[in-house]
Amino acid sequence: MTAALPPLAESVVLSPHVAAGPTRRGRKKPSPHARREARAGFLWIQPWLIGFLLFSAIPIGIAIYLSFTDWSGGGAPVWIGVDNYVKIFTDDPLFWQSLKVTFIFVALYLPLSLILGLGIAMLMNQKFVGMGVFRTIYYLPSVLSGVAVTVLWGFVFHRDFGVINGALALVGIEPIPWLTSQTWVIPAIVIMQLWAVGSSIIIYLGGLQGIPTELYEAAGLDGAGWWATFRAVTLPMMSPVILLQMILGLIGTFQIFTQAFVMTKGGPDYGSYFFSLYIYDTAFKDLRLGYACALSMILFAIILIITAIVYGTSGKWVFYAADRGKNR
Amino acid sequence: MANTAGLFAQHASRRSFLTGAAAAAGLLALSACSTGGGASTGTISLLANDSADWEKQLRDVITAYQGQNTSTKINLLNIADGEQYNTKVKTQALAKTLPAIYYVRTLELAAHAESGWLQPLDPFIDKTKNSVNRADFQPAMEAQFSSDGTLFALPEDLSAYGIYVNKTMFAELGIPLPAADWTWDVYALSEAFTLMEGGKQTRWGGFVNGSSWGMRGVMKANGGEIFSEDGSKVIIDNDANIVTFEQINNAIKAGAVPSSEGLPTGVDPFAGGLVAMFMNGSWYAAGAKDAIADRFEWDIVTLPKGTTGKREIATAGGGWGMSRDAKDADATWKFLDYLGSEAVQSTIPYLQTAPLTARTTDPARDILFPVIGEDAAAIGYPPLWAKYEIAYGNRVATLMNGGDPRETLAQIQEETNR
Repeated sequence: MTAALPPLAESVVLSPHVAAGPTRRGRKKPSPHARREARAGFLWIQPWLIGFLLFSAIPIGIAIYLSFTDWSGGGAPVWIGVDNYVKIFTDDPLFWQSLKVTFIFVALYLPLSLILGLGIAMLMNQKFVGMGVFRTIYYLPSVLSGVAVTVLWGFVFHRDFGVINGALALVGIEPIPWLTSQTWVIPAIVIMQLWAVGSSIIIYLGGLQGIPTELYEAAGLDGAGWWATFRAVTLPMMSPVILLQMILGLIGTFQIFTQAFVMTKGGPDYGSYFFSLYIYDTAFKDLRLGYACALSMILFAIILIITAIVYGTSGKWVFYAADRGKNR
Repeated sequence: MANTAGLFAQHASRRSFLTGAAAAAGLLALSACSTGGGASTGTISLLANDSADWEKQLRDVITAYQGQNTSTKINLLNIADGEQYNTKVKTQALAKTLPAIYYVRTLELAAHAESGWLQPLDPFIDKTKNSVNRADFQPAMEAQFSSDGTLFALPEDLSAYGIYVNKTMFAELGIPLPAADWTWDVYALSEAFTLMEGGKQTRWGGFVNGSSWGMRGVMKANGGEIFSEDGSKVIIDNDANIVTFEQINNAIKAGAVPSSEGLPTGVDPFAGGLVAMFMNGSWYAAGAKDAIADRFEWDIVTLPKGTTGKREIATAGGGWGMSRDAKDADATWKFLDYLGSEAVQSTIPYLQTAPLTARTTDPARDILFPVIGEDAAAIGYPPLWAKYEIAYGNRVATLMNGGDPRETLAQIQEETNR
């Protein structure tokens, strides 16, 4: 509250420009200088504002409207109320199939990517000669084109001539039909995605390097071993970064598209028919744009709800050192 | 330094925010005022989906036309990548800013016509002297460039499937080359070419291309239809089609034909000498010429006959359509008509020069097309095609991998008709 602040702080918040004179509802009238600054501010944010309106706000608004219509791109959209949503939930097996496939992928990939990312980042956080080379190697897959990487993994996963099955054959394991079996296609895409976990490693690495060394020194003096240090120092201190990665991962993983689009086209037998691919096919192949918009809204709602749950429960497991300091 | 936190806390009022947003929206509205279909009178926009060599030919035609019609300017935008091109067309159609003329794939022509994106061309043909004569069209061409009897595009190109034959391999094994009246039985029973190396099969007799439209012709040659007569329903789950896929499955089990995952990824099976007979499209010939060079002798033969005694070769391609958004329809038609004129056809092969049109740059044109005119299936692609293609695309691996065709074809039918 402003009134409770000491005089110095109050003078910072209410600068002379701001506190120029009384106005409606008891607010101070802005000075000409402040108004000029406000105008300049709005002018400078116009590129962002235009971009936001053009590429986010207006398309989202239109998509919400179209989700209640029957529209194939020709003529005017026909308002049909909630019919699209009713059909999606009651008479669309592909909706449930694509939802199931997407949830399985998220459930497999997200925890593994979080654990693997943090684990590799911890290994990368050691100090020895040549570490920069390792960091570059692990990050490289993240800068490669998604399509090129997907094509490459198509070779790797080949049943008869792929590298993975070749390696498995050395230990007597029968060839796995990675991309032609409903059972194996999702694990195959998970493995492929985990290969590109480098971008999250960089963020984890930044977080790890931000942990004060005195915490580790104190843990060492207390006789803590590797596991105890990890549980009592690294994990709590990294929990905000893990939360960030989890939320970014949730949003991105639910929208997985390229891998299936390029490598499997959603097959075999809809085994990799991710929700985004279903939306794409419905909109741009089948030209049922109203229906595709309704599917998009459902995906948006799913991501929003799960993200809200994760964020809402984060207070129980995320440790903010700054908050702890405030409460003292 | 100004206290910006205080400034915005105090002065970013609803009114000023809305003013800013309104200004942005105004600018946005101005920027969105794209006309499409030709920016001004005398300008015709043309959207093409061509390779670089073909684009050059098209530009030459445009230059010649503009030389004769100095008040007209043709703005050509060529997008070579197929996926990007399709996205461009669809987003422009939804934004009602289609170019005056655009290349439309025959696989999508009926859907575009149904959505009202294309204008019927017959009224323009009727009022133009010495224009395109639909009577010259082969039945396959007529079926593909029209919808419900109305012509919606002038043919630009068509591709067809054929069998690429490794003549050297045939000679080495002393097997006679396919005769003119050969059948799919001969193709499927080509086990003599099978070769096992290191416990793995490394050579097969024939490769069956599982392409949605290519297989449609194969099914039809065996008496199996995919669509009902009016194109409103998929009827792929029928005995004739089941027999076709059972025959393929038997050939796969015998090792004569590779399964969908049998061939190594990233290797051209024909150029790499892995298959003696290779079902592929006419477009493949140009690449094959370079890839094979003089490593072995090869040729292209027409597809085998089915149980109906016909080949029913499936074709697909594209042509020039006049969009709903064309600003000056008469000027647009004048240029379209020019594209179909004899003068242009001497440079670009259009409708009348061959039983089925093919690009001059296509080596298969002289080998394959002159003989398949009568064998081409007279079938178009109904608006339901896109939905069928999604269902078929998701199930084809099972179909071509030894799965039960009865179950899979029933699934495709149900999923498309749903």
